[in-house]
Amino acid sequence: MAGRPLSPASGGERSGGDDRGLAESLIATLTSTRFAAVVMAALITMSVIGLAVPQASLLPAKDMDLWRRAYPWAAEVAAALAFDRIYNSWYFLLAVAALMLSVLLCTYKRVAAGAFRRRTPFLSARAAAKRGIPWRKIDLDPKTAARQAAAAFKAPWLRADESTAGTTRMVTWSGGRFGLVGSVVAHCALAIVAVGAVVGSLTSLQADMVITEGQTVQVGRAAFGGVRSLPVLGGVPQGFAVALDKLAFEYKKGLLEGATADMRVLEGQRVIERRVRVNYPLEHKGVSFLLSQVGYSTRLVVRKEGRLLDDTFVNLKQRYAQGFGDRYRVPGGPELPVFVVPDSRLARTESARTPYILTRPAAYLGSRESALGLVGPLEVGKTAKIAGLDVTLADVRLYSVMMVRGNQGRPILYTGLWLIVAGAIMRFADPRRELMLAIRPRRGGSEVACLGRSAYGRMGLGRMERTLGRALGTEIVSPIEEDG
Amino acid sequence: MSSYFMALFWASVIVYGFAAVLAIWGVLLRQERVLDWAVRCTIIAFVPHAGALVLRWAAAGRPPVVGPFENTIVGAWAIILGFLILSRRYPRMKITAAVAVPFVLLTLGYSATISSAIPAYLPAYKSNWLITHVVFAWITYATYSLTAAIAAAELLKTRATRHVFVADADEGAAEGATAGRAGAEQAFKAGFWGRVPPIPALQDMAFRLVVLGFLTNAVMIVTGAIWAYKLWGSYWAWDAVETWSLVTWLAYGLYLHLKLTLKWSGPRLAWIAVVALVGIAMVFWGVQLVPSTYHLFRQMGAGRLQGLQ
Repeated sequence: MAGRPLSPASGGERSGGDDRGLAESLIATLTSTRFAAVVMAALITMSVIGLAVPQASLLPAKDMDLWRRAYPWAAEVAAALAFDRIYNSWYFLLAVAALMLSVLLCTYKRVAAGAFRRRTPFLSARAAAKRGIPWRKIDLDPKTAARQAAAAFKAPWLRADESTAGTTRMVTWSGGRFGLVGSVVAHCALAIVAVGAVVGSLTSLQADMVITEGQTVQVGRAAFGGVRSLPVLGGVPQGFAVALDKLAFEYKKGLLEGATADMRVLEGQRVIERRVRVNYPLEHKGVSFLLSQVGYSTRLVVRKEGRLLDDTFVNLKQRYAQGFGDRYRVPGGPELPVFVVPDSRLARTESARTPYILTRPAAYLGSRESALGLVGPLEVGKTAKIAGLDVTLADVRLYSVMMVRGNQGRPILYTGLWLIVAGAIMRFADPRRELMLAIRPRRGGSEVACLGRSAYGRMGLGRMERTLGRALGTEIVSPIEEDG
Repeated sequence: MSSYFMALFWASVIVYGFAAVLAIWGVLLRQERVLDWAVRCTIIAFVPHAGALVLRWAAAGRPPVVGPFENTIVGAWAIILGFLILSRRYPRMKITAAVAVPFVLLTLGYSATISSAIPAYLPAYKSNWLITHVVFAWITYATYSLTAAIAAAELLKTRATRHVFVADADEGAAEGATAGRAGAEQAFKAGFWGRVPPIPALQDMAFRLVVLGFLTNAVMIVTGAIWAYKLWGSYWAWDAVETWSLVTWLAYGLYLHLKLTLKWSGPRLAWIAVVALVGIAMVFWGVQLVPSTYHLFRQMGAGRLQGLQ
C-alpha cells in the first residue's frame, strides 16, 4: 500500500511548520512599529547618557583624567558599562543595526505586498449618493466635462481610470507611484549609508603628517605620525608625494583671516598644483590632507671644532606666551632650547597678534635659567657659540602638521545621505492619493461629485482639486476619506 | 556690541514679552481680540528684531552664522517669520502665537545670557557648506517650533471640544445631540474655539510642517557632515549637537511613520510633536550644557587653524 503523503499534522512537517512560525514571528517582531519605537527609545536614552557622561572620543585625555579624579566612582561605573565611549559600544551599534534591519524589512514588506498594484476606483454613483457627497451643477455636458477633466491632468505620475455606471461617468486619478519609489529609495539609502560607514571603518586612515615649507614628502606609512587608524582593507595609498611650497597667513585687526598652503601632488610625471585652505583640503587617491597645526621650523647647522655634527630642521611644537619653542637634542651633546619670537611680541604690541608673521626671521638658543645661557636673537645665516658648539641658524620656515584622512566609504555614505533626502522629497512630492470625479447629466449641463482618498490629508489633493475646478469652471472641495 | 543693536534687541524682547502675555491671556480666557493684539505686537517686535540682525550683519561684515548668540537670535527670528507667514496665509492659525511667541521669548532670553561679542570669522567658518547647514538649521528650528505650536492648539481644542461633546471631526452635526447639546454646540461654534481651525485642519498643517522640517533636518545633517569632514577630517563624531540632531530627525521620522503607516491621529500624535521639540531645543541650546562639543570649537589646541587663532 502506498504510503500516505505526510499530512501537515505529521511530525516530519510539524518541525518545518515551527521553523516557519519562528521565522515569521521574528520578522513580524522586527517589522513592528513597537520594536522600532523601543529601539529608538533605547537610542535616545543612550544619547542622553552620551551627553551627561564625558566621552573619551571627544575630550582630550587630560580632561578625562580630571573627570575621573573628580568623580572616581562614577568614572568606574561609566567605564564598566562603556558609558564613556557609548557610541562605540556594542549595544549602541547593535541598536543601530537592529533599526536598520527593521527599516529594510519593512520596506521589503511594503513592496512585496504589492504596493505598486493598481487599485480599483473606489466610488460608484450609488455609493456617492449614499455618502451624501454633494453634487455641484456645472454648465458643461457630461461628455465635455469628462474630456476637459481628463485633459486637466497631464502629469505622467497621475494615472486616470475611466468608467461608466449607467449615465454616470467616473474618472479616478491616482498618484503616488513616484512617491512610493521615493520611499523605497529613501529607506534603502539607509542601508547604503550603513554600508558606507562599514566600508569607511575598514578603510579608515587617520594620521598626521609633518611637512615643512619647501619639503616634499613621499606619502606612505613611514611619513605618518600620530597614527590613530590604518586601513584594514586596501592598505595605505601610495605612489605619490606631496610638496609644500609656501604657507601664507592673512590677518585683519590682529585676527586670523585666512591661511593658505600652496601644495603640489607629484605622481610620476604628473604634477597637480593645489591651494589648500581650511575647509578646502588637498584630496588625492581618496586621501585628504587637511591644514591643522602650524608652527615654526628652524634649520640648525651644528658644528663642533669645525666638524659637522648635524644639519636638521627642528620643528618648534610648543607654543608659549612669547612665541614658539622646543628642545633640540644635539647628537652626542646637550639639549638645546630653541625659540622663535614673532614680530608682534618683538614690537610689544598687544593688539597686533600675528603669530605667523616673521619679517626678520631670527631665533633664540638656550635659556636664562639654564647653564647654557641665552643667545639671540640669532638672525638667519648667523652663527652663535653655545655650549662649545657653533650653531648656525640656516633658515626659519613654517611647518604644518597636516591631518591625513582616508575613508573609501565616504562616497558611498554621501550617496546614501543624498538619496535619503531625494527619496524623502519624492515621497512627499507625490504622496499616495486618489481623486474620484463622478459626472451625471442634468437638464442644461451636468452635476459633479468628488471624493478624495489619502493618508496625507489634503497634501497633493488640494492642488488636484484646484486644477480640476479650473477645468470644470467650479470650485471643487472634496471630502477626504482616510486611506486604509 | 553697539548700543543700537542692544537697543533694538531689547526692544524686540520687551515687545515679544508683551505679545507672549497677550497670546497666553487670549487663549486662556478665550478672548480673540486679545489674541489679535498679540499678533500685532509680534509684528511690531519683528521689526526691531530684523533691524538688529541687519546691524549685526553689518557690524560683523558677514552673515550672522557664527556662534551660539547669532544662531539663537536668527533662529528666533525664523520662528517669528514662519509664524507671520502662517497666520497671514491662514488667519485662524493665530492661536499658535500662544506657544510660538513664548518659545521665541525663551530663545531670546537664553541668548541674553551668553556673550554677544562678535566672534572672529575664523577660516573654519568660511565654507558654503556651513552657511547651507546653518540656514537649514534655522528653517528646521522654526518649522518644528511651529509644529509644536499647532499640535498644542490641537490639544487645547480637543480638550475644549470634549467639554461640549461636539463631533468636530468633520464640522458636521453632532452625533446624538440633544436639543440642549445642540445649543451648546451652536454656542461653541460661535465662540472662541469655533474660530480656531477645525482639528483635521490643524492636524493637516502640523503634518505638512513635520514633513518640511523632516526634509530640512535631513539636509542640515548632510551638509553638516560634509562640512565637518572638510574641516576636521571626520564627517561624524557623535558630538552632542550631531547626536541630538539625529535623534530629533529620528523622532519626527517616527511621527511620520506612526501617522502614515499606523494611521495614528489625534492627541497622542500631537503630544509626540510637542515633546519632540525638546530635541531641536537641545540642538540649539543644549550645546552649552555639555562638557564637550565640536560646535563650540572647544578642545582645539593652540596653533590649530580650525579653532582658535
